[in-house]
Amino acid sequence: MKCKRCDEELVPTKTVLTYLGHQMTYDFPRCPTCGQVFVPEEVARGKMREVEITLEDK
Amino acid sequence: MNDLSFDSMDQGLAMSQQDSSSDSLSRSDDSSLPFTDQSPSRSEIETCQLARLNAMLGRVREHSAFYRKHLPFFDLESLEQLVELPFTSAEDIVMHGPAFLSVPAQEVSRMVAIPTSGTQGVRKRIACTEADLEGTRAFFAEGIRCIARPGEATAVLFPCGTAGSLGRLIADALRRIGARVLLLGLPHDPGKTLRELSRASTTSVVGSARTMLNLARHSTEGGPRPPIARVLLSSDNASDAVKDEIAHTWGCEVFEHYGMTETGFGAAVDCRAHAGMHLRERDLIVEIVDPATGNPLPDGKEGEVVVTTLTREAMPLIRYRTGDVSHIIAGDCPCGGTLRRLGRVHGHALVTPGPNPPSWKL
Repeated sequence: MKCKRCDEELVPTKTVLTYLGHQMTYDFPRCPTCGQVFVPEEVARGKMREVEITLEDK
Repeated sequence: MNDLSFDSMDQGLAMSQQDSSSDSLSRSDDSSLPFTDQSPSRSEIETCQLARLNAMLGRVREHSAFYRKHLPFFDLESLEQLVELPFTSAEDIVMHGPAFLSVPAQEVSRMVAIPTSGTQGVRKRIACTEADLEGTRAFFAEGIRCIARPGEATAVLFPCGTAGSLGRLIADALRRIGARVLLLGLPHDPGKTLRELSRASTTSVVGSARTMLNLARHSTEGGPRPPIARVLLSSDNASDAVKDEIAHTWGCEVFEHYGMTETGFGAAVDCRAHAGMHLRERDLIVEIVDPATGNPLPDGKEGEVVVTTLTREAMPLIRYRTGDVSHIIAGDCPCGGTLRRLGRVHGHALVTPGPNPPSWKL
């Protein structure tokens, strides 16, 4: 998979996600030049959504 | 300020028609006041409600993918016509959550996920903008005056772990009125919590009935007795016996509040007369309907509480069936206030899904 802007091959990279003051790390494909991260739809709708909901307490 | 990434695709789809030049809420600075002290006339209240209702209907028809599909395309000429609009259910929010959004996803500053009573493990997610959170703070800053006093310590025994959490919103409101805030969160060790309340000379506490009863019983059993003079109960339903036990244990005055996440937490609060909870009528329209038929019930008759939010930005809800059971108290309040009063609220006991009015199919 390539970065559309830089035409560089994306490299799996540990990425820190922050939500409601909590941090979690996940491996996402990342462009080594511009740093743009690709979040696959199944992760956004799956694991990420699941974790977010557990943090969204009153 | 947004750091959300939830369902970005769904929301992008839902908000594809969003226009930044959209109509505003016309929210005045004091729009969230419960007006317990101001006593506007019923006609002033209802004129305000109708104007806000039509403005909100226009906004959701334009921006909410869910309501665009389900609402008829006409303004209401009177509040009585509200019954012609379809109900919204908790299941609708679970099934179509992002399609309820009436602002672009990037304007959502907080999501709150709450369990649903129907399907085990499924949560409905309620979105708030910063203006929604501010509306809640403003309402709390008025409502909390029933127990809090400037310069005195008020303890908050609600979750407070994250920004925009219920505990922190109450704490913000308390600071606005000059009270000292003891933000303790949900107590896990009643003895420790009571010691903290005593050490800070806490004169008022806000928490759930279950939490407060547990603390009161710990005091009775030889635990510390903080100088609590006023308690505000919220988030669960308190029987008279529970309220009496709390009042008797600490020699305090007990107030009740009713609200839900869907209404921005606040919806109605006791006055000094303790003769029902005055509704936040500038921000909400509350109906009582027969849970089986969906037909409106007269004041005094118990039925399902249905709310329409008038000033919520992110997720306005129209005729939302809360599943709670209560009644509107007929007649005037001894306090002289003109806001209608909600009676004792019961849980989800007798509710069965009722039909929608004919306009549902429009």
